[in-house]
Amino acid sequence: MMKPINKWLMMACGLIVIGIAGAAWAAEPVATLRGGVAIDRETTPPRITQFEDTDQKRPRNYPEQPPTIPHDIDGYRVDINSNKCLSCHARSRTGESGAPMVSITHFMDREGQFRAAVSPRRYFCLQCHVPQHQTDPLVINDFVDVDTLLLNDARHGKE
Amino acid sequence: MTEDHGVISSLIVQTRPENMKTVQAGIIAFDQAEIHATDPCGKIVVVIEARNDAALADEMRRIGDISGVLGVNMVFHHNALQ
Amino acid sequence: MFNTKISRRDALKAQAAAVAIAAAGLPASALSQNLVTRAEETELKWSKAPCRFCGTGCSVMVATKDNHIVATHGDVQSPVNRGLNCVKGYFLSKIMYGRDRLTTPLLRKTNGVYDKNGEFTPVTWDEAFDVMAEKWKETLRAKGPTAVGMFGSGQWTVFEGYAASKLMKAGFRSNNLDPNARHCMASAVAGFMRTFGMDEPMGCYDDMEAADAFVLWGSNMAEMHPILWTRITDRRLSAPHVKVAVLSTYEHRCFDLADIPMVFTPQTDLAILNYIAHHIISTGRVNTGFVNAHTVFKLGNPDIGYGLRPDHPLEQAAANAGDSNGAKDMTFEEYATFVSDYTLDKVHEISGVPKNRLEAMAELYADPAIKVTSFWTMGFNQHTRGVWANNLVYNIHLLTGKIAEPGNSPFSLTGQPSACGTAREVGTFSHRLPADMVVTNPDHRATAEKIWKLPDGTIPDKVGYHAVQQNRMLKDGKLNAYWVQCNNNMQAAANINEEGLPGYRNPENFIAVSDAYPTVTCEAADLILPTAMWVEKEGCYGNAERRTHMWHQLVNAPGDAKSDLWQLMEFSKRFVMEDVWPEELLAKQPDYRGKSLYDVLYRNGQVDAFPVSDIEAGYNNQESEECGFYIQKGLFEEYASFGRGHAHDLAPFDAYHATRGLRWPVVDGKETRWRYREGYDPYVTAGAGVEFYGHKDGKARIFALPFEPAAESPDDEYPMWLCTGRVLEHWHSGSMTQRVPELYRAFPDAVCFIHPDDASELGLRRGDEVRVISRRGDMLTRVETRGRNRPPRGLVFVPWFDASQLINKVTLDATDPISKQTDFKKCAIRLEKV
Repeated sequence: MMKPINKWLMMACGLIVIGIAGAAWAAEPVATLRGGVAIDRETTPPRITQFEDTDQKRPRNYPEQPPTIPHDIDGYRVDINSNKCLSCHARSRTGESGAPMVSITHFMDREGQFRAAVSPRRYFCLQCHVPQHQTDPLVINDFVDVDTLLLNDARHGKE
Repeated sequence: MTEDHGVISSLIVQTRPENMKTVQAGIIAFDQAEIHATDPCGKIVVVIEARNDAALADEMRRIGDISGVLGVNMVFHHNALQ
Repeated sequence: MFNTKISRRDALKAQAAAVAIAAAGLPASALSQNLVTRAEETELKWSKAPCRFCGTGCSVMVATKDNHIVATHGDVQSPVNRGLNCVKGYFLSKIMYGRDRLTTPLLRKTNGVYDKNGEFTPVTWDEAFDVMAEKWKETLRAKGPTAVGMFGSGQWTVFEGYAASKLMKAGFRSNNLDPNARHCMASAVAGFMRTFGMDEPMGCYDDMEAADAFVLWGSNMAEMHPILWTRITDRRLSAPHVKVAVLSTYEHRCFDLADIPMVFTPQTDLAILNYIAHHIISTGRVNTGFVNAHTVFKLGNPDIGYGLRPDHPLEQAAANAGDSNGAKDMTFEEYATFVSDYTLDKVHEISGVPKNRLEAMAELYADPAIKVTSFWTMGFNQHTRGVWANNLVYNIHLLTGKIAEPGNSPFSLTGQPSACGTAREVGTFSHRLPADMVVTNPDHRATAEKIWKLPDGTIPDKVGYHAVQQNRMLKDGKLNAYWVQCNNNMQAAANINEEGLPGYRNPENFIAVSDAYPTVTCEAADLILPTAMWVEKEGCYGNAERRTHMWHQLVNAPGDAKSDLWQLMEFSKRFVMEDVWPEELLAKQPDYRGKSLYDVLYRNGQVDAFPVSDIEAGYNNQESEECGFYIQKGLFEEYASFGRGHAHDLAPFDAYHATRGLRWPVVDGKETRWRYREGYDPYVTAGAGVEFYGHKDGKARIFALPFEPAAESPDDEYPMWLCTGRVLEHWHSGSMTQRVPELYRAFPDAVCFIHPDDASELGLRRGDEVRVISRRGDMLTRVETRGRNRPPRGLVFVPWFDASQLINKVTLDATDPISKQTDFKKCAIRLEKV
């Protein structure tokens, strides 16, 4: 089994933690999300990190994936009275804001019909689009996108 | 700002079986639309490439305006920019 | 030469076409032949599957290529989600690819032999099951069937839950089988059984497009059922007359859409519900015709205790701890007097909700012109009076007749993808059998024994250990051989310091845990079994609106990982009937002598009735290929025979692979959207109009039940309430979602949401390290004064998805005495700055 990224172990106290953990019962902890700290011991909670805040669009894993939000959204209001996201991403606003327009898939209603405005079912943006903290994943994910698969096919002579 | 990086989208165009031929002809007349599948009961699967979302929306409206088209439903949408 | 750019464009176009072809319901062969799209090279195979996460039951389209999932998107054909997914659903493609997937069994060993204190060591499946079976046989010989047990899951497929139920209740003759749905839905189940005599909602999701008002009772749908929330949002913003009322013990994202927002003091929802009943009666808006024809009134036993260990002072003091479910008849007038105690003034005072808001909400129910749908989830169910809360909300729908018709609907939502399908309908609870039957009823046992071809007296007549009791009995050394599948109870169950962890590590016990990833439950075990997940196997789930839906195996599991179903069957092969049944039982069925449990349970002429050739072409099926028959179909058809003709009718197996699911009862090929009402439900007697046929008299029960305090409330030493729960981005204890980088980075670590004034009074600032302390244990986390949840003063909210911050060291294992479901929403804590 390959070892996942382990941010606690990267901390200076890693060895000490393992030493204490070993006293709980005589086995090396396996729960990867606890970073080697036994269940009956305390982990040190990581600091709260900021959201990444750029205008760089991130590559998507597949076309159907909703893009993640590249910027900080702290303090954004999206409620029954107003929608801060649409103040830049609405079709009428992208000219001045320079932000990408809401995908036109969002103009389809529940029946699949194209409407003049964003469908109310898409109103709460954060149900699908999420900002990203400045932190590394706990565990590497080995998902392979279709482009890479095709490239691998080509390299192995399927082309 | 314009976004001309290209979008790809697929639609299901619904018509009546007796109008299939004329509607297909109408769709093919548009440069950026390809018919990928048809079903005798009146469904036509169309793939569109367009400059941007606005152009795509225009194209969808024009397809919707073809005589005999009952509905245009978008299924897949990819915007290279997003 | 391979040109990536052109290939990518072609791939996208091919994908666009394939998705639309699938959505239009056309065969892949409909693809036009005259189009050059390098089809062979770019072709993806698209198949439907239900989402792996919550009880909403969205359908997703899954693209596979070369044994990989490469994309997923919302299924436009599904009436549940119509093309949408929430952020978790959109990232389903990545849940199986965390690098720490378990791919081989791991057994604790020292010097090459099993040792409870040894290191986890890779072993073969044979060695794993040899050691495990030996432990089970030892336990059965020494202590009998009550010392073996299993903790299962509302994430199990229907097939797996059914196979496990047979294995435990018929094979090992132990009712010590419970699902993690006990933590989730047990109060809803008991509420349904008490009021209607039959489990699961009468309405369906179509209520959302028909209602004029929505009331959320302890349900943060915006985060927990996002796709249902899109339907409510759609309705609210499309039809301006629609009102949304939201009740919670803290403000959350649902408040963003609320017309009537209400933050109430924990536990006082009981008083609010009785106030609404009083308001309906005192303003003369009882639907008398409906009430007289379709309901009877009951006075429920009060003072029923808190489901703690029997020696706990609270249990000793409770008058009706021994008869929590008891009730006696009463009249409407007596009921009216009972609820008249809950005046607006009094309920305002104890709940803290402004009077005008209480009145505005009560009017949504009282006004006969308003169609009102109530939703609830864990706020009601994880409650030491959770069954009462369920009963009380039915009361107000019954008093007004606003029930079992489009838009008028009391609707219990579920947390797990198959809480209804597997945990409830299959009957994997310690007291249940399939189709709402119970182990304590001799007729029900006889029915199950007949269908399962077992001698009379096989199924034990005593209720087994429920979830919380299992941990207590592990600790006490009364439950010794234990198998956990498809859940993460060491992170979920309350009070692990005092119960769960000592139980698993008790030297008398042998604990096996099946999972796809190394969870904290795995770590507490003695044997870890690597498990195939989601579309690595064929499956079937049942969602919150009675919709049964299926999927095919789409990819192969990594390494030696095997499905829970395969594991159950393989394990059963290691027992002959003489190992598990006493001589007097075998004497009644001598032809079972010398046979294996596998032969008796799964090769019984029913489960093995369908050939592998029945599997839809183009799909693998690892278990069936190995056992030589279409096991899922056989299990399903045998299981379905319990409910057909008894208002639990399921369609034939193949129908579920051909549709986006069907809502039971499915009679003459037609699903049922609203039960108990003529014209919608074929089981209602012609001319009856409405018939609550779950009870023999055809009537629903309206229960008089009082407000009673929580098991533990803040005091001088522990001055704050602790409420636990989930966040949008993580589900199922984070065991899958924490391994998807985008979901992890959206909400990486647990925090303690607290009111800024409480924080500053304690000298705490956002981001400070803080210790959350209760009478049972403590945990370190960080202070959060901003963000999505805004608690009132005196309450903190801590989510439980984070394996590195186990808030269940702090929570209290008090349960509803009727449902045995833990109250994870209320206990007393104090905070200390670190």
